[in-house]
Amino acid sequence: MEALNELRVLWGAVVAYVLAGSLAILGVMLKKRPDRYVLALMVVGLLVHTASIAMRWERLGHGPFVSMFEILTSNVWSLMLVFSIAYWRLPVVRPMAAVVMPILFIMMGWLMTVSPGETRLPPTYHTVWLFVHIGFAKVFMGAMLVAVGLSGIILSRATRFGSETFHRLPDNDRLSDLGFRWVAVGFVFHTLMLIAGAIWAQDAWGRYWDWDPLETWSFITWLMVAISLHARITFRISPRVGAWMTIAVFVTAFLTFFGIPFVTQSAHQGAV
Amino acid sequence: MIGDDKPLVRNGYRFYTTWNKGFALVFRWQPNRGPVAVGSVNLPGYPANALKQAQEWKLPGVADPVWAMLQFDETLIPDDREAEFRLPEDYRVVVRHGEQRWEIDPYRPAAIRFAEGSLQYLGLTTWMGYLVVWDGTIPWLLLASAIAALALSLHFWQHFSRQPWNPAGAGQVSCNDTQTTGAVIGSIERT
Repeated sequence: MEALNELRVLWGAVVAYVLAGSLAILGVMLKKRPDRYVLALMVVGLLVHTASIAMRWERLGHGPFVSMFEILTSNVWSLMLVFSIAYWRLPVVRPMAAVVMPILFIMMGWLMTVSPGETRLPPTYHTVWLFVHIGFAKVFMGAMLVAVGLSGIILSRATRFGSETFHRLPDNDRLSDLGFRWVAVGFVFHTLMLIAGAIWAQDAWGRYWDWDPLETWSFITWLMVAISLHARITFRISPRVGAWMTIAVFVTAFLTFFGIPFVTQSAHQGAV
Repeated sequence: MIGDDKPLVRNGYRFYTTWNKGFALVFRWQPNRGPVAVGSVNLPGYPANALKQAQEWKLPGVADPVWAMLQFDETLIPDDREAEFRLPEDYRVVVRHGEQRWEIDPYRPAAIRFAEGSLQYLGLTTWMGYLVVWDGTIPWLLLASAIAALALSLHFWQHFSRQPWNPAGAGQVSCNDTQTTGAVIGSIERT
Protein backbone atom coordinates (compact mmCIF):
# COMPACT_ATOMS: atom_id res chain seq x y z
CA MET A 1 0.00 0.00 0.00
CA GLU A 2 2.85 2.36 0.89
CA ALA A 3 4.53 1.55 -2.41
CA LEU A 4 1.31 2.36 -4.26
CA ASN A 5 1.00 5.67 -2.45
CA GLU A 6 4.59 6.53 -3.42
CA LEU A 7 3.78 5.85 -7.06
CA ARG A 8 0.61 7.96 -6.84
CA VAL A 9 2.64 10.85 -5.43
CA LEU A 10 5.25 10.31 -8.16
CA TRP A 11 2.49 10.44 -10.77
CA GLY A 12 1.36 13.74 -9.23
CA ALA A 13 4.86 15.12 -9.68
CA VAL A 14 5.04 13.90 -13.27
CA VAL A 15 1.68 15.51 -14.05
CA ALA A 16 2.95 18.83 -12.65
CA TYR A 17 6.15 18.55 -14.70
CA VAL A 18 4.23 17.68 -17.86
CA LEU A 19 1.87 20.61 -17.32
CA ALA A 20 4.85 22.93 -16.78
CA GLY A 21 6.62 21.65 -19.89
CA SER A 22 3.51 21.71 -22.06
CA LEU A 23 2.71 25.25 -20.95
CA ALA A 24 6.29 26.32 -21.69
CA ILE A 25 6.17 24.75 -25.18
CA LEU A 26 2.77 26.30 -25.89
CA GLY A 27 4.05 29.66 -24.68
CA VAL A 28 6.96 29.48 -27.12
CA MET A 29 4.73 28.43 -30.03
CA LEU A 30 2.11 31.10 -29.30
CA LYS A 31 4.79 33.68 -28.46
CA LYS A 32 3.46 34.12 -24.94
CA ARG A 33 5.49 34.11 -21.72
CA PRO A 34 3.60 32.14 -19.04
CA ASP A 35 6.87 32.05 -17.06
CA ARG A 36 5.35 32.42 -13.59
CA TYR A 37 2.94 29.54 -14.08
CA VAL A 38 5.64 27.34 -15.59
CA LEU A 39 8.00 28.05 -12.69
CA ALA A 40 5.22 27.53 -10.15
CA LEU A 41 4.32 24.15 -11.70
CA MET A 42 7.99 23.14 -11.72
CA VAL A 43 8.32 24.00 -8.03
CA VAL A 44 5.10 22.13 -7.19
CA GLY A 45 6.34 19.14 -9.17
CA LEU A 46 9.70 19.23 -7.37
CA LEU A 47 8.04 19.39 -3.94
CA VAL A 48 5.71 16.48 -4.72
CA HIS A 49 8.57 14.52 -6.28
CA THR A 50 10.70 15.14 -3.19
CA ALA A 51 7.86 13.74 -1.07
CA SER A 52 7.70 10.63 -3.28
CA ILE A 53 11.45 10.01 -3.00
CA ALA A 54 11.36 10.66 0.76
CA MET A 55 8.50 8.15 1.22
CA ARG A 56 10.43 5.45 -0.65
CA TRP A 57 13.64 6.33 1.25
CA GLU A 58 11.78 5.99 4.55
CA ARG A 59 10.19 2.67 3.54
CA LEU A 60 13.33 0.99 2.13
CA GLY A 61 15.87 2.64 4.43
CA HIS A 62 18.07 3.87 1.61
CA GLY A 63 18.08 6.53 -1.09
CA PRO A 64 17.29 6.13 -4.79
CA PHE A 65 20.67 4.79 -5.85
CA VAL A 66 20.27 1.16 -6.92
CA SER A 67 17.72 0.16 -9.59
CA MET A 68 17.00 1.84 -12.92
CA PHE A 69 13.69 3.10 -11.45
CA GLU A 70 15.53 4.74 -8.57
CA ILE A 71 18.29 6.16 -10.78
CA LEU A 72 15.72 7.58 -13.19
CA THR A 73 13.49 9.12 -10.53
CA SER A 74 16.47 10.70 -8.77
CA ASN A 75 17.85 11.99 -12.08
CA VAL A 76 14.54 13.45 -13.20
CA TRP A 77 14.40 15.16 -9.79
CA SER A 78 17.97 16.51 -9.94
CA LEU A 79 17.70 17.60 -13.60
CA MET A 80 14.42 19.37 -12.85
CA LEU A 81 16.02 21.03 -9.83
CA VAL A 82 19.02 22.34 -11.79
CA PHE A 83 16.83 23.39 -14.71
CA SER A 84 14.32 25.12 -12.40
CA ILE A 85 17.16 27.11 -10.82
CA ALA A 86 18.41 28.07 -14.30
CA TYR A 87 14.85 28.94 -15.35
CA TRP A 88 14.42 31.11 -12.27
CA ARG A 89 17.79 32.86 -12.44
CA LEU A 90 18.06 33.32 -16.24
CA PRO A 91 14.69 34.81 -17.24
CA VAL A 92 15.91 35.95 -20.67
CA VAL A 93 16.53 32.39 -21.87
CA ARG A 94 13.48 30.76 -20.30
CA PRO A 95 12.07 29.69 -23.68
CA MET A 96 14.80 27.04 -23.71
CA ALA A 97 12.28 25.05 -21.66
CA ALA A 98 10.73 24.13 -25.01
CA VAL A 99 13.95 22.24 -25.79
CA VAL A 100 14.75 20.88 -22.33
CA MET A 101 11.34 19.65 -21.20
CA PRO A 102 10.85 17.14 -24.07
CA ILE A 103 14.15 15.50 -22.99
CA LEU A 104 12.79 15.23 -19.46
CA PHE A 105 9.45 13.94 -20.81
CA ILE A 106 11.35 11.03 -22.41
CA MET A 107 13.03 10.24 -19.09
CA MET A 108 9.69 10.44 -17.27
CA GLY A 109 8.13 8.11 -19.84
CA TRP A 110 10.98 5.66 -19.33
CA LEU A 111 10.56 6.00 -15.56
CA MET A 112 6.93 4.96 -15.85
CA THR A 113 7.84 1.77 -17.73
CA VAL A 114 10.52 0.33 -15.40
CA SER A 115 9.79 -1.79 -12.36
CA PRO A 116 9.61 0.12 -9.07
CA GLY A 117 10.43 -3.08 -7.17
CA GLU A 118 12.16 -3.06 -3.82
CA THR A 119 15.95 -2.92 -3.76
CA ARG A 120 18.74 -3.60 -1.28
CA LEU A 121 21.70 -1.32 -0.88
CA PRO A 122 24.95 -3.21 -1.74
CA PRO A 123 27.61 -3.27 1.01
CA THR A 124 29.85 -0.89 -0.93
CA TYR A 125 27.12 1.77 -0.89
CA HIS A 126 27.30 2.29 2.87
CA THR A 127 29.60 5.27 2.58
CA VAL A 128 29.37 9.03 2.40
CA TRP A 129 31.19 8.85 -0.96
CA LEU A 130 27.98 7.53 -2.48
CA PHE A 131 26.34 10.91 -1.93
CA VAL A 132 29.43 12.88 -2.95
CA HIS A 133 30.10 10.89 -6.14
CA ILE A 134 26.48 10.76 -7.29
CA GLY A 135 25.80 14.35 -6.22
CA PHE A 136 28.61 15.65 -8.43
CA ALA A 137 27.37 13.49 -11.31
CA LYS A 138 23.89 14.95 -11.00
CA VAL A 139 25.13 18.53 -11.02
CA PHE A 140 27.20 17.70 -14.12
CA MET A 141 24.18 16.26 -15.94
CA GLY A 142 22.02 19.21 -14.85
CA ALA A 143 24.54 21.74 -16.16
CA MET A 144 24.83 19.84 -19.44
CA LEU A 145 21.03 19.78 -19.77
CA VAL A 146 20.86 23.57 -19.53
CA ALA A 147 23.69 23.83 -22.09
CA VAL A 148 21.73 21.49 -24.37
CA GLY A 149 18.66 23.74 -24.02
CA LEU A 150 20.69 26.73 -25.15
CA SER A 151 22.27 24.69 -27.95
CA GLY A 152 18.82 23.63 -29.13
CA ILE A 153 17.81 27.28 -29.51
CA ILE A 154 20.98 28.06 -31.51
CA LEU A 155 20.43 25.11 -33.83
CA SER A 156 16.69 25.71 -34.26
CA ARG A 157 17.43 29.26 -35.40
CA ALA A 158 18.75 27.79 -38.63
CA THR A 159 15.08 27.15 -39.50
CA ARG A 160 12.53 29.80 -40.25
CA PHE A 161 10.27 28.62 -37.43
CA GLY A 162 13.14 28.68 -34.94
CA SER A 163 14.44 32.09 -35.97
CA GLU A 164 10.94 33.58 -35.69
CA THR A 165 10.12 31.81 -32.44
CA PHE A 166 13.33 32.70 -30.62
CA HIS A 167 14.05 36.09 -32.23
CA ARG A 168 13.64 37.98 -28.94
CA LEU A 169 16.33 35.95 -27.24
CA PRO A 170 20.00 37.05 -27.14
CA ASP A 171 22.02 36.45 -30.29
CA ASN A 172 23.75 33.14 -30.93
CA ASP A 173 27.13 34.38 -29.72
CA ARG A 174 25.71 35.30 -26.31
CA LEU A 175 23.78 32.05 -26.07
CA SER A 176 26.90 30.12 -27.05
CA ASP A 177 28.90 31.96 -24.39
CA LEU A 178 26.25 31.10 -21.81
CA GLY A 179 26.25 27.48 -22.98
CA PHE A 180 30.05 27.45 -22.67
CA ARG A 181 29.68 28.52 -19.04
CA TRP A 182 27.28 25.72 -18.22
CA VAL A 183 29.55 23.19 -19.94
CA ALA A 184 32.48 24.57 -17.92
CA VAL A 185 30.48 24.17 -14.70
CA GLY A 186 29.68 20.64 -15.81
CA PHE A 187 33.36 20.01 -16.49
CA VAL A 188 34.35 21.02 -12.95
CA PHE A 189 31.68 18.77 -11.44
CA HIS A 190 32.51 15.87 -13.76
CA THR A 191 36.14 16.18 -12.64
CA LEU A 192 35.06 16.17 -9.00
CA MET A 193 32.82 13.16 -9.71
CA LEU A 194 35.78 11.20 -11.11
CA ILE A 195 37.96 12.12 -8.11
CA ALA A 196 35.24 11.17 -5.61
CA GLY A 197 34.58 7.94 -7.52
CA ALA A 198 38.29 7.07 -7.40
CA ILE A 199 38.35 7.60 -3.63
CA TRP A 200 35.27 5.40 -3.25
CA ALA A 201 36.70 2.68 -5.54
CA GLN A 202 40.00 2.68 -3.64
CA ASP A 203 38.08 2.21 -0.42
CA ALA A 204 35.73 -0.49 -1.72
CA TRP A 205 37.89 -2.50 -4.09
CA GLY A 206 41.52 -1.53 -3.41
CA ARG A 207 42.01 0.23 -6.75
CA TYR A 208 41.18 3.79 -7.66
CA TRP A 209 40.89 3.11 -11.39
CA ASP A 210 40.28 -0.17 -13.21
CA TRP A 211 39.18 0.84 -16.72
CA ASP A 212 35.84 -0.90 -16.24
CA PRO A 213 33.21 0.11 -18.85
CA LEU A 214 31.56 2.77 -16.69
CA GLU A 215 34.91 4.31 -15.71
CA THR A 216 36.16 4.22 -19.28
CA TRP A 217 33.04 5.84 -20.70
CA SER A 218 33.02 8.44 -17.92
CA PHE A 219 36.59 9.28 -18.88
CA ILE A 220 35.62 9.47 -22.57
CA THR A 221 32.81 11.86 -21.58
CA TRP A 222 35.28 13.94 -19.56
CA LEU A 223 37.64 14.09 -22.55
CA MET A 224 34.80 15.15 -24.83
CA VAL A 225 33.81 17.96 -22.44
CA ALA A 226 37.45 19.07 -22.28
CA ILE A 227 37.77 18.97 -26.09
CA SER A 228 34.54 20.96 -26.58
CA LEU A 229 35.74 23.64 -24.12
CA HIS A 230 39.18 23.83 -25.72
CA ALA A 231 37.70 23.96 -29.21
CA ARG A 232 35.65 27.02 -28.30
CA ILE A 233 38.67 28.90 -26.95
CA THR A 234 41.44 27.68 -29.26
CA PHE A 235 39.67 27.33 -32.59
CA ARG A 236 36.91 29.91 -31.96
CA ILE A 237 34.31 27.58 -33.44
CA SER A 238 30.95 28.95 -34.52
CA PRO A 239 27.98 28.81 -32.11
CA ARG A 240 26.40 26.13 -34.28
CA VAL A 241 29.44 23.83 -34.14
CA GLY A 242 29.71 24.50 -30.39
CA ALA A 243 26.03 23.60 -30.01
CA TRP A 244 26.52 20.30 -31.84
CA MET A 245 29.53 19.50 -29.65
CA THR A 246 27.50 20.19 -26.51
CA ILE A 247 24.74 17.86 -27.71
CA ALA A 248 27.33 15.18 -28.54
CA VAL A 249 28.73 15.44 -25.00
CA PHE A 250 25.25 15.20 -23.48
CA VAL A 251 24.34 12.15 -25.58
CA THR A 252 27.62 10.45 -24.60
CA ALA A 253 27.08 11.27 -20.93
CA PHE A 254 23.48 10.03 -21.12
CA LEU A 255 24.54 6.75 -22.73
CA THR A 256 27.31 6.38 -20.15
CA PHE A 257 25.00 6.77 -17.17
CA PHE A 258 21.93 5.01 -18.56
CA GLY A 259 23.29 2.66 -21.23
CA ILE A 260 26.51 1.17 -19.87
CA PRO A 261 24.77 -0.41 -16.82
CA PHE A 262 22.93 -2.68 -19.27
CA VAL A 263 26.11 -4.10 -20.79
CA THR A 264 28.75 -4.06 -18.05
CA GLN A 265 29.51 -7.13 -15.95
CA SER A 266 31.83 -5.35 -13.52
CA ALA A 267 31.13 -4.58 -9.88
CA HIS A 268 30.94 -0.89 -10.82
CA GLN A 269 27.51 -0.89 -12.43
CA GLY A 270 25.73 2.39 -11.75
CA ALA A 271 22.08 1.46 -12.15
CA VAL A 272 21.31 -2.26 -11.88
CA MET B 1 35.27 -7.74 10.13
CA ILE B 2 36.14 -8.47 6.53
CA GLY B 3 33.76 -9.29 3.70
CA ASP B 4 33.11 -8.77 0.02
CA ASP B 5 33.95 -5.14 -0.81
CA LYS B 6 34.59 -4.51 2.89
CA PRO B 7 38.31 -4.45 3.64
CA LEU B 8 40.05 -5.04 6.92
CA VAL B 9 42.27 -2.04 7.64
CA ARG B 10 45.35 -2.53 9.81
CA ASN B 11 48.22 -0.04 10.07
CA GLY B 12 47.35 1.52 6.72
CA TYR B 13 47.22 -1.85 4.95
CA ARG B 14 43.91 -2.86 3.44
CA PHE B 15 42.99 -6.54 3.17
CA TYR B 16 40.38 -7.43 0.54
CA THR B 17 38.79 -10.82 -0.05
CA THR B 18 39.34 -12.36 -3.48
CA TRP B 19 37.86 -15.16 -5.57
CA ASN B 20 41.08 -17.14 -5.00
CA LYS B 21 40.43 -20.00 -2.57
CA GLY B 22 41.10 -23.69 -2.15
CA PHE B 23 41.65 -26.67 0.12
CA ALA B 24 44.50 -27.25 2.55
CA LEU B 25 45.78 -30.51 4.07
CA VAL B 26 46.83 -30.18 7.71
CA PHE B 27 49.71 -32.39 8.94
CA ARG B 28 51.74 -32.81 12.12
CA TRP B 29 55.42 -33.63 11.65
CA GLN B 30 57.07 -35.41 14.56
CA PRO B 31 60.83 -35.62 13.89
CA ASN B 32 62.93 -38.24 15.62
CA ARG B 33 64.67 -35.43 17.46
CA GLY B 34 63.43 -31.88 17.83
CA PRO B 35 60.13 -30.03 18.21
CA VAL B 36 56.82 -31.06 16.66
CA ALA B 37 55.66 -28.94 13.72
CA VAL B 38 52.05 -28.54 12.60
CA GLY B 39 51.35 -26.97 9.24
CA SER B 40 49.04 -26.92 6.27
CA VAL B 41 49.79 -27.75 2.66
CA ASN B 42 47.78 -25.38 0.49
CA LEU B 43 46.50 -27.10 -2.64
CA PRO B 44 46.04 -25.14 -5.89
CA GLY B 45 42.99 -22.86 -6.09
CA TYR B 46 39.58 -24.50 -6.49
CA PRO B 47 37.61 -24.78 -8.79
CA ALA B 48 40.12 -23.17 -11.19
CA ASN B 49 42.46 -26.16 -10.68
CA ALA B 50 39.84 -28.78 -9.87
CA LEU B 51 41.81 -31.52 -11.64
CA LYS B 52 45.16 -30.57 -10.13
CA GLN B 53 44.49 -30.87 -6.40
CA ALA B 54 48.03 -31.95 -5.52
CA GLN B 55 51.04 -30.26 -3.98
CA GLU B 56 54.68 -31.05 -3.27
CA TRP B 57 56.55 -29.77 -0.24
CA LYS B 58 59.58 -30.53 1.89
CA LEU B 59 59.44 -31.81 5.44
CA PRO B 60 62.00 -30.35 7.87
CA GLY B 61 65.11 -32.49 7.81
CA VAL B 62 63.90 -34.72 4.95
CA ALA B 63 65.94 -34.49 1.75
CA ASP B 64 63.38 -35.55 -0.84
CA PRO B 65 60.10 -33.70 -1.25
CA VAL B 66 56.76 -35.21 -0.22
CA TRP B 67 53.79 -35.13 -2.59
CA ALA B 68 50.15 -35.17 -1.47
CA MET B 69 46.89 -35.21 -3.43
CA LEU B 70 43.25 -34.70 -2.45
CA GLN B 71 40.79 -36.94 -4.27
CA PHE B 72 36.98 -36.71 -4.27
CA ASP B 73 34.17 -37.42 -6.74
CA GLU B 74 31.61 -34.84 -5.59
CA THR B 75 30.79 -31.84 -7.77
CA LEU B 76 31.11 -29.10 -5.19
CA ILE B 77 30.44 -26.10 -7.45
CA PRO B 78 28.14 -27.03 -10.34
CA ASP B 79 28.14 -24.88 -13.45
CA ASP B 80 24.36 -24.57 -13.73
CA ARG B 81 23.41 -23.13 -10.33
CA GLU B 82 24.65 -21.13 -7.40
CA ALA B 83 26.66 -23.04 -4.83
CA GLU B 84 28.70 -22.45 -1.72
CA PHE B 85 32.34 -23.41 -1.45
CA ARG B 86 32.60 -26.19 1.18
CA LEU B 87 34.65 -29.21 2.12
CA PRO B 88 33.86 -32.49 0.31
CA GLU B 89 32.00 -35.00 2.46
CA ASP B 90 33.77 -38.06 1.10
CA TYR B 91 37.41 -37.83 0.12
CA ARG B 92 40.80 -39.47 0.47
CA VAL B 93 44.35 -38.21 0.63
CA VAL B 94 47.22 -39.81 -1.28
CA VAL B 95 50.80 -39.21 -0.10
CA ARG B 96 53.94 -40.14 -2.06
CA HIS B 97 57.57 -39.99 -1.08
CA GLY B 98 60.05 -41.38 -3.57
CA GLU B 99 58.78 -44.79 -4.63
CA GLN B 100 56.50 -45.17 -1.59
CA ARG B 101 52.76 -44.39 -1.73
CA TRP B 102 50.13 -44.20 1.01
CA GLU B 103 46.36 -43.69 0.90
CA ILE B 104 45.05 -41.98 4.02
CA ASP B 105 41.58 -42.69 5.33
CA PRO B 106 40.53 -39.30 6.73
CA TYR B 107 38.31 -40.95 9.38
CA ARG B 108 41.08 -43.26 10.68
CA PRO B 109 44.32 -41.56 9.70
CA ALA B 110 47.42 -43.57 10.48
CA ALA B 111 50.83 -41.96 10.93
CA ILE B 112 53.26 -42.37 8.05
CA ARG B 113 56.72 -43.44 9.15
CA PHE B 114 59.78 -41.85 7.57
CA ALA B 115 63.41 -42.53 8.47
CA GLU B 116 63.59 -38.96 9.86
CA GLY B 117 60.28 -38.93 11.76
CA SER B 118 56.54 -39.46 11.58
CA LEU B 119 53.89 -37.60 9.54
CA GLN B 120 50.33 -37.55 10.91
CA TYR B 121 47.40 -36.32 8.84
CA LEU B 122 45.16 -34.05 11.00
CA GLY B 123 42.40 -32.94 8.65
CA LEU B 124 41.18 -30.95 5.68
CA THR B 125 40.52 -27.24 5.78
CA THR B 126 40.31 -24.31 3.33
CA TRP B 127 42.45 -21.32 2.49
CA MET B 128 41.57 -17.97 0.95
CA GLY B 129 43.68 -15.46 -0.91
CA TYR B 130 43.54 -11.79 0.10
CA LEU B 131 44.49 -8.70 -1.81
CA VAL B 132 46.72 -6.57 0.39
CA VAL B 133 46.89 -2.94 -0.66
CA TRP B 134 49.23 -0.19 0.46
CA ASP B 135 50.07 2.66 -1.87
CA GLY B 136 51.92 5.63 -0.44
CA THR B 137 51.29 7.78 -3.51
CA ILE B 138 47.52 7.84 -3.06
CA PRO B 139 47.31 10.83 -0.64
CA TRP B 140 49.57 12.79 -3.03
CA LEU B 141 47.45 11.80 -6.03
CA LEU B 142 44.38 12.98 -4.17
CA LEU B 143 46.08 16.25 -3.26
CA ALA B 144 47.17 16.82 -6.88
CA SER B 145 43.64 16.05 -8.13
CA ALA B 146 42.06 18.38 -5.57
CA ILE B 147 44.47 21.21 -6.51
CA ALA B 148 43.75 20.65 -10.21
CA ALA B 149 39.97 20.78 -9.63
CA LEU B 150 40.34 23.89 -7.44
CA ALA B 151 42.56 25.62 -10.02
CA LEU B 152 40.06 24.76 -12.76
CA SER B 153 37.20 26.19 -10.69
CA LEU B 154 39.15 29.39 -9.92
CA HIS B 155 40.08 29.80 -13.57
CA PHE B 156 36.48 29.59 -14.71
CA TRP B 157 35.26 31.73 -11.81
CA GLN B 158 37.65 34.56 -12.75
CA HIS B 159 36.79 34.17 -16.42
CA PHE B 160 33.02 34.20 -15.94
CA SER B 161 32.75 36.83 -13.21
CA ARG B 162 33.71 39.52 -15.77
CA GLN B 163 30.39 39.14 -17.58
CA PRO B 164 26.90 38.61 -16.14
CA TRP B 165 25.31 35.20 -16.40
CA ASN B 166 21.94 36.57 -17.40
CA PRO B 167 22.42 37.82 -20.97
CA ALA B 168 20.42 40.65 -22.46
CA GLY B 169 17.69 39.69 -24.88
CA ALA B 170 17.42 41.08 -28.39
CA GLY B 171 16.92 44.84 -28.13
CA GLN B 172 17.43 44.72 -24.34
CA VAL B 173 20.27 45.68 -22.05
CA SER B 174 20.99 43.62 -19.00
CA CYS B 175 20.87 45.73 -15.82
CA ASN B 176 24.08 44.31 -14.40
CA ASP B 177 25.97 44.23 -17.68
CA THR B 178 28.01 47.41 -17.06
CA GLN B 179 30.25 47.00 -20.09
CA THR B 180 27.33 46.65 -22.50
CA THR B 181 25.32 49.36 -20.75
CA GLY B 182 28.25 51.76 -20.93
CA ALA B 183 28.69 51.09 -24.62
CA VAL B 184 25.01 51.63 -25.34
CA ILE B 185 24.87 54.85 -23.29
CA GLY B 186 28.00 56.06 -25.10
CA SER B 187 26.40 55.44 -28.47
CA ILE B 188 23.20 57.23 -27.40
CA GLU B 189 25.19 60.29 -26.25
CA ARG B 190 27.08 60.42 -29.52
CA THR B 191 23.88 60.39 -31.53
